[in-house]
Amino acid sequence: MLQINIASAIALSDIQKKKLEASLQKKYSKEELAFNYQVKEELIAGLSVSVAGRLYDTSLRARLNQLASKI
Amino acid sequence: MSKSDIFANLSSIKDSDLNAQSVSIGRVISYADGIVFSDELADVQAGELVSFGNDGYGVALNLEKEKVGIIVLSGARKIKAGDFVYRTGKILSINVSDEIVGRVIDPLGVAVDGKAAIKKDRDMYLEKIAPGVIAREGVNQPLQTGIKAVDALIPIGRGQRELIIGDRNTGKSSIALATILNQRDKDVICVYVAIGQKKSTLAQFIQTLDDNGALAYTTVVSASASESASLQFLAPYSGQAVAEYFLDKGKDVLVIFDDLSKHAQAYREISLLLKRPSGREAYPGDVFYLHSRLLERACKLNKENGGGSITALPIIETQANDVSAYIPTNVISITDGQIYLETDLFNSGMRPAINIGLSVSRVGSAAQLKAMKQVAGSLKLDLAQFRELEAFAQFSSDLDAATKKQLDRGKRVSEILKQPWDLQMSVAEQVLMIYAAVNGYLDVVEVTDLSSWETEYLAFARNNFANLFKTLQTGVKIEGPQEEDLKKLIKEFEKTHPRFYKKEA
Repeated sequence: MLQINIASAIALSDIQKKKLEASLQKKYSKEELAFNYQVKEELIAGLSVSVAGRLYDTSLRARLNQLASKI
Repeated sequence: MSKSDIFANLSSIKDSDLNAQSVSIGRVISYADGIVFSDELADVQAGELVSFGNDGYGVALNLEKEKVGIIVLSGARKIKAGDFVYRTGKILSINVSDEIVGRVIDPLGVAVDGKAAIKKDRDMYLEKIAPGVIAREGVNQPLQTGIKAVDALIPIGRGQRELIIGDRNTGKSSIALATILNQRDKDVICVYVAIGQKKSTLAQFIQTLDDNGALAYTTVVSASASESASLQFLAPYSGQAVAEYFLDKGKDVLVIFDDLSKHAQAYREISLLLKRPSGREAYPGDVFYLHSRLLERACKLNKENGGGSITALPIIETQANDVSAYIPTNVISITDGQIYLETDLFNSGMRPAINIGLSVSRVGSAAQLKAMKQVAGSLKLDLAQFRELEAFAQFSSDLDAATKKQLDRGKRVSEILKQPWDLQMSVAEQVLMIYAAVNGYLDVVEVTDLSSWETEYLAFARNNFANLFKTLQTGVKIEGPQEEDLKKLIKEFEKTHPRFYKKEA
């Protein structure tokens, strides 16, 4: 079973969760998925998804950090 | 920030790609005793700097299939189980600039002396492969310690690694300190690495350097006893990185590791906590490589590579004079010789408490100044004969005249090797004293008078024979005219200072 951790700045609605799960299921079609949801206010906005040792961070915090490191 | 900088920044912001990229992460499984075990982090490199977010950093040391062992360097208080661990893609390095001279830094290159931040110049890797054979040349320039016994009998050359070994309280650090103090106006940068020492001792050490104007050319790398084992483990490599920055500029550098026994202990602690298999005395299998890769970076580069040098003086503390313990034997075999200090000698008033018989310098004599070499040859012989006879003479009371003479000579020769730690002697002074001793000019002076004889004789020579003094200072071979001058000097001194020569009259 593949653990997928999803962190968001505000709690996701059920419809949002369904949509997210469906698209992730499509990406990892061969695996059985388990979803863990988490609210992290420090992300400010957006999602941060970690799967099997990789982090896909689309949160505003990550982009601000990226920007800060560029300057 | 100037206007043009702002515009440059704005365009870099405009051009920057802020799309989400997937990064490799792990999660903290456990954190205890300064060691984090993290899962995943599949593509992390050995020795890579990893981040815990919030200014927390560590170094990945153990790469295993299921987990990664990380030593924590900073931000330890904020780490929780389940936290993300990020790769940084960087190998551990510290930033060094010319401003680092005269400062006290921690093993990560951050100033800890309360003065302004150090300007940034170059990133120097903590771990670096030592220069190869092609880039090096033989040790050919002396590094004067200002200590008669060392400069004459166990000479140290620039680029050499000379171990200072002995029990606690035998004056190991004093030899190192005296050597730093003697480098004033000699265009040598000094790096002093304090590993696992008391902060009070270090503060005193730095104060002494400052009082003697030696801090102006010295950098102190401090990982005191209260610092974590990981910082103590990194400290000598930081010191070496600072030294290499100046080496690359063609400078001569002296680096002192005080001491490597504590360093080995810190590494043992880390290794045991990382669950690496332990070997003799519970040290891990690679404790030899730990020190050999550090000391191998001491070198003398040839002209094409800048001609700089790094001289390393590692210090090892023994327990009850046991030089055959694990770490001492390791470091003895790595270095180019050792200065062996003994408690018995120290307590009998022989300071520096160097055991001449057991101390050697394997490469330094090639770099020794000509004049010094000349006088030191007979000094060695006198001392060797004295030691042999001394034991023998204890059995019989009446000795023949020749033996008695040799004993008297030996007593005086070993007496003049005594020297207070804070008195640095120039080449000329050393040559003058040793010349007088080995040529029998001291045989008529009482042993107890020798130290005042020395002071007055040297002052007399400096004032009345300035030319000879200057010539000797260059270290050229003593030949006809100098020899005559030396004889004249002693004769005149004898005339003007009769109080030392009562016995003869």
